[in-house]
Amino acid sequence: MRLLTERLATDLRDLWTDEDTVEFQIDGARNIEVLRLLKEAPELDFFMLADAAAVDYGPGERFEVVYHLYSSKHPAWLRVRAHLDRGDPIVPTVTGLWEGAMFHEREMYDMMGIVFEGNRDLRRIYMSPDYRSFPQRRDFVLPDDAADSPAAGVNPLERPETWDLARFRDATDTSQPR
Amino acid sequence: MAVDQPTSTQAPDPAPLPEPGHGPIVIPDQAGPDALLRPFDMEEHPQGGFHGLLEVIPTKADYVLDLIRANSLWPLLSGLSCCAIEMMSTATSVNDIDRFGMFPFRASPRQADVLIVAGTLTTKMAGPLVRLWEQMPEPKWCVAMGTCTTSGGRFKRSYSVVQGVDRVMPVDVYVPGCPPRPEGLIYGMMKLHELVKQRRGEWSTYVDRGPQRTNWEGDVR
Amino acid sequence: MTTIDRDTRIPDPIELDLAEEERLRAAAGLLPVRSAAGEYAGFDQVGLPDRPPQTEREREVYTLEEGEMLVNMGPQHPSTHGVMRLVVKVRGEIIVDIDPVLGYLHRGIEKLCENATYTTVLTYVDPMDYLSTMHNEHAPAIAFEKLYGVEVPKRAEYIRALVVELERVSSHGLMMGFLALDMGGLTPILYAFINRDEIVDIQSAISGQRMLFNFFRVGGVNFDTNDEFLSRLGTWRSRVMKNIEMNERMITDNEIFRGRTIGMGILSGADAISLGVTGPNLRASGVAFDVRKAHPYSIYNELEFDVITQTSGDSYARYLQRIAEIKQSIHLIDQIVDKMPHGPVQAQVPGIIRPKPGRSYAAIESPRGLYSVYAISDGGPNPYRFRMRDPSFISLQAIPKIMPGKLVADTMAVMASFDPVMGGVDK
Repeated sequence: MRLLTERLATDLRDLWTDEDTVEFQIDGARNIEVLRLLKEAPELDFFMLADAAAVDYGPGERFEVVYHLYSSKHPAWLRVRAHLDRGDPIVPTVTGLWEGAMFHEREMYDMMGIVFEGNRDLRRIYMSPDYRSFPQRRDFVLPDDAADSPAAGVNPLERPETWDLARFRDATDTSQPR
Repeated sequence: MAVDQPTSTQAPDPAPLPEPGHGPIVIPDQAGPDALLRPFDMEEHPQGGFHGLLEVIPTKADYVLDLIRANSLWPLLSGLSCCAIEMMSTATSVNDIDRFGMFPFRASPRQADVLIVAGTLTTKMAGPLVRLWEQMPEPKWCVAMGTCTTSGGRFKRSYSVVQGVDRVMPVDVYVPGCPPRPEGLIYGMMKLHELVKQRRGEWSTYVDRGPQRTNWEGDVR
Repeated sequence: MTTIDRDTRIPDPIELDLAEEERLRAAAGLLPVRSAAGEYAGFDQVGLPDRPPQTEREREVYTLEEGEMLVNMGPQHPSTHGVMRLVVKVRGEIIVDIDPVLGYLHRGIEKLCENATYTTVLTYVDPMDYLSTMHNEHAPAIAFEKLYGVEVPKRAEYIRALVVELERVSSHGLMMGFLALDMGGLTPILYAFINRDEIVDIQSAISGQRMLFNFFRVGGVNFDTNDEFLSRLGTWRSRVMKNIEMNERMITDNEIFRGRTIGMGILSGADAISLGVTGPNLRASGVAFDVRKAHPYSIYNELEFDVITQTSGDSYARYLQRIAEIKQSIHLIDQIVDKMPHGPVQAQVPGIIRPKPGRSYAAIESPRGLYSVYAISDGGPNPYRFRMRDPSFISLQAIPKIMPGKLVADTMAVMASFDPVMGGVDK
């Protein structure tokens, strides 16, 4: 932890630790530099990318890309949370550091719509290539869900009067990023 | 009509039809619209008659043919997910469906009789699965194994799961369970044997409307 | 005497140049020849994308050189991994490139879990990696316990480790069967399924289900061990070593098996780490990384076991690695049964738990690698974000790296040695 505060003082925003995880936040545009430092610095040596996940905090809030790293020199998992703007979710790719991030990033693009620039293969991986939406966003809703739901409208997503359909009106083909 | 109508206003009686089970069927020329239904004996053929379709009376040769079909149903190797493991477990040594003739799980749909849809059907896989079903030659049957294929199962409100395989293809036997025990699948197969022998089920009543599509374009997804 | 009039001879197609052939095809009403060498080949073949390539890599894969062809090993194929599609670019029999197409089993489990209570989530994750169901439940259980802050009773931890190691034995045994099946050997799969049926009988005595056990709870397990479970476990344990050795003796020294796996699909350690491959595949490439030792969870720091590695990273090494891990797991089961304490098997946890807002990450060692769960809670009854990282999904990235240069028939053999399970790949 001390090492982290020394080396990354300009980038760290929020350091938090638990008995087995150390976590900090960074800005989305700096992820390559920070991860490269973590991977290649000999006393940090986070050689393994265990997980790359995307989190959507709601229709007005941010996206986050969360990387979990492991080092044999440190006993805790390291969690790097990269903050992204929801309106402009573009972040550099880390496939240069770990090739195994390719499928992670494809999944994050497919499910959330986060675009990884520099990724050589940013296609949809789970849904069909002509799918027009991003399923794991918080505002993703299927219109026939409400009718089938046994709760019949307790969840605001199940109440059609709370939907804002204007955002679907100009939906363009989303199988190809930009 | 009242009973004491004068017979002159009625149509002449059609020629007497043969009794069921005796001799060949002879349909006389002046037969009425229900002539084809008459020779069927309800006890022998539980489904009764078919409007507009010619169906043969189950004779002994037909019974043997149905036995042949039932006792060597070759399944198509189409395991999608967890139910596939239970299907494989049914096919291997402890619960053995080889004793029912179903040992060869054919890889090619052209050689298969039964499509046991084992596992969750997703919207992406629905296209290939229906194409497999169409490639299977008649007679063919479909068994929906597990709750995911019966009705969507535990993935009821998912955005990418087809809520039951009967939304895309006709199903003969539904085997519930998540996953069904091998004994359950074997019971389902025994029910399918009954279907085959009684010529119930989807294929024998399938009206051939011709090819459903004329080209394969636009079919890549 | 008849003469052959050269001018009216029907031209031989091979002698036509491309312009001539295009003209004749157009006159006959056929589509023009599109897949010339160096051109994007997606337009002519059924099943391949008939739109312009979207990415560099797609263009690279779907552009054919002279003598190459695209073969589709479609979602339904005779190997038993489930529904995965491999578009293989071959030159003759030699593979030039592979593009795996996934998503044929994507069930939207992560999205469904956002609308489910924490206990229900543990039932939704069962059918992910359906050959190792207990592991699928173990990771979310640990993550939710960290979020909620509950201490799991010792006996529950031991029961968890016991069923988890049983599942590992069953899953590795099935890998052996599937590996032989993909090479055409139809017998070892029967023995593997006998092994699995015995283990599944044991697990059904404790949880009631044969496959998608709904056994773990937040704070412990659902049922305690009973007499039936222990008697079946004892019977099985007394025969398993001999059975496993009999099963592996069938194929380990078989020269067809050895010829088809030794030297095939070599993955170096550095490549494996870079690709994110974990688990037995990584350890077979020489890297000694096991989550149970690297970041011990549950009671694994009280049990003694070794992290075994192999030196060559080929399919044979992955197979031997799994056989060695079966033996390690049986050794672990012995220790667990010896050391199991008495006590409750579930902590006092309400039916619908509402943990405080926070984030937690839990990683376990599943038979396929590092299986981890990242859960975010917002204080309500449902998790705010539930993310699973499945090892088979990431291990599949190794296939386009190691397969070029090999024969088409080896694709399935190498895939089987990586032991992917499509339920986990597609979530």
